[in-house]
Amino acid sequence: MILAALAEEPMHGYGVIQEVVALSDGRVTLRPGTLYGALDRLVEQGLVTGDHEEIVDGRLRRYYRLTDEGACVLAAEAQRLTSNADAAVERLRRRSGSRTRLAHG
Amino acid sequence: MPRSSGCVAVRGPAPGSPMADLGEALPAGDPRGTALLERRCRRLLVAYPAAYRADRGDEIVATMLDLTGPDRRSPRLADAADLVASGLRRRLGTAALAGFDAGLTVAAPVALALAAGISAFAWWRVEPISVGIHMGGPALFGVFRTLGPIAYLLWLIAAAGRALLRPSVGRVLIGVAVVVTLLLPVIAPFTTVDRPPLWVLMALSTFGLLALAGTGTWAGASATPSADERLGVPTGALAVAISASSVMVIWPPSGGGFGYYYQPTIARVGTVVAATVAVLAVIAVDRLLRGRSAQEWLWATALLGLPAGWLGPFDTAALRLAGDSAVPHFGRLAQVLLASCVATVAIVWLAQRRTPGSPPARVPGPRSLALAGAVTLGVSIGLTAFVLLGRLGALGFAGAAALPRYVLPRDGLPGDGLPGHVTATLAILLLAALCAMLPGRWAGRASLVALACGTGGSFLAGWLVAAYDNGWTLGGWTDFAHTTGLIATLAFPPLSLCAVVAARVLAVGAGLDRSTKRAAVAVLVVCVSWVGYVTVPYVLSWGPVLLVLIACCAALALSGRARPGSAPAP
Repeated sequence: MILAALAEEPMHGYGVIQEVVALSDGRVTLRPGTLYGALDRLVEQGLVTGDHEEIVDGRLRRYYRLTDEGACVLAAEAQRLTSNADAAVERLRRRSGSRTRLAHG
Repeated sequence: MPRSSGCVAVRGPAPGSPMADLGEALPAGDPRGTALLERRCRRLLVAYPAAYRADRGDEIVATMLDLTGPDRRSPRLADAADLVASGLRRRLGTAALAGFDAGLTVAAPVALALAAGISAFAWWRVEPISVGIHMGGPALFGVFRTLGPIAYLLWLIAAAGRALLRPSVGRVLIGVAVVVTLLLPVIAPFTTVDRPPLWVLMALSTFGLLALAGTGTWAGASATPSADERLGVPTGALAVAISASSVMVIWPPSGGGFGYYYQPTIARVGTVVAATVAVLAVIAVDRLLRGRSAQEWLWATALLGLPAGWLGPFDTAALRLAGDSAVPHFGRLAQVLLASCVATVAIVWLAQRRTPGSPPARVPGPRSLALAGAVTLGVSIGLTAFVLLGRLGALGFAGAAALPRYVLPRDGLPGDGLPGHVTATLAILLLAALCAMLPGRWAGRASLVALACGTGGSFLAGWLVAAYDNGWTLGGWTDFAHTTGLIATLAFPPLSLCAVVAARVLAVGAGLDRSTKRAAVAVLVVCVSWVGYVTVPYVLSWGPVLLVLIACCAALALSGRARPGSAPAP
């Protein structure tokens, strides 16, 4: 979810939290400790890196962006989920087709 | 990551200033309220290591302030708990352990199911027969024969809460159950009834802590558990209770001094707990042999193995208990200490594997061996001081000073002189410590701290064991031989520490000088030989969990040699 949130543009911590809420339709709310633990892990894995910093209303905002490797991992994961979803849709389509045939005798 | 030089964070008022008492009375958007909120957020950052706090503190506080909004003066409880848990996780270094978080999420529902299942079994099958054996006396409020049902009820509610309520509420229920379980020994003396055995309460609390840690989103647990995940806990608890009850029917409790509450709870439930841990170990080994990652399953096995080892089923008739002080004691305390040592060794071993990008585990050398030796020397000093002071009649041993035969160590009956095996254990501790400290000599201030911790910790532990052995009394202890026999089992942890460090030093191999290698071999031989001599004759009393853990480690080592390219052995 964090990789997906950072896919479009660099974001700071609070921005990532908001984006994850939006991406999940409100089902997932990241808490700050969890967010920064995950960001640390992604930075260590080379999937995310620091972009720039700015001070807004006296508060430090550090922006993060996806690395090329992070984009590859995200693309592979998206492809995997899409394939799974396609397979599920195909099975459902066949199921409804066979039911229609049975109904018509 | 580069640090901004222009960071100007709002620091808030000084501690103790009038603003500290403004609390919720300030209107929304008031800058004094924001400063108060920031100060409270910064307090939470104490959970993080200082270096991390210096690097990331301003950033995390800014996010907390953005998230909390201008209408609040304190961070939300869930955010605060999450921040503290994440800080402790970083401080303990678990974030860098490969598979640890995933292992916690695997272990958490199992741990909660075990805690609830043990509670249901104890309430259903053990409580009704407990009266008149260990827990005699009138029932409290006409209902409670022991205080156990208070905690048992909370564990059952926690399991139901996991199935029916939001995860955050379920975690609060687990926390309440842990706290109340830990409070029972404190409350019991003020009532007319007793508490369940300490090992049972310790196991329940530790299962609860694992459940608490592994159901947090920071460990990777789902914020929206599926129906399977929700129903798995109460279903598992039911299975544990029924299985334990079935074992009790097949293997009825023996009577006598160790019958009823103590024996069925520990021995019968322990069988079911051991089987559960064994299933996790088998899954881990199976995955390893198939060339798949098993790190999370190994972690789950090792983490659950620690409290499960305390419930290890064993036949009390096979124990070497009081009454024969001429040979080393192997009773409940020895079994629990041994289980803890084996589980800890497994955890240390797994901790060698780090997440990608994390700094590698520290390579042990002469200094590590010297520090382990300093701790062991401290334990040797602490236990020897306790025994000598005890023989002089101090520390609560009322009758000791009056008997001249206490002057010399000798074997004999309970209440007699210092048993020979206790003297031997103290000598072994000293020998292991000197061997370990030989190549690295004195590691400066670190060695001094290790020595002090070993001395103070072992003296305190000895005193606690003596109190435990005498019905938690603070004086009037007379069975000197039995108590010192129990205290000698406190040598297991430092000897295990020395053995593990020595084994790791030898595993490094290359680059070690000859004296370090010789010292490591000597330490390993001395420690393993003595622990083996004291424990191996009673291997049937260890309990299957220990055997499962050892088998798991052996399988891991074997699979690592057979399939070096695929096995994730650390």
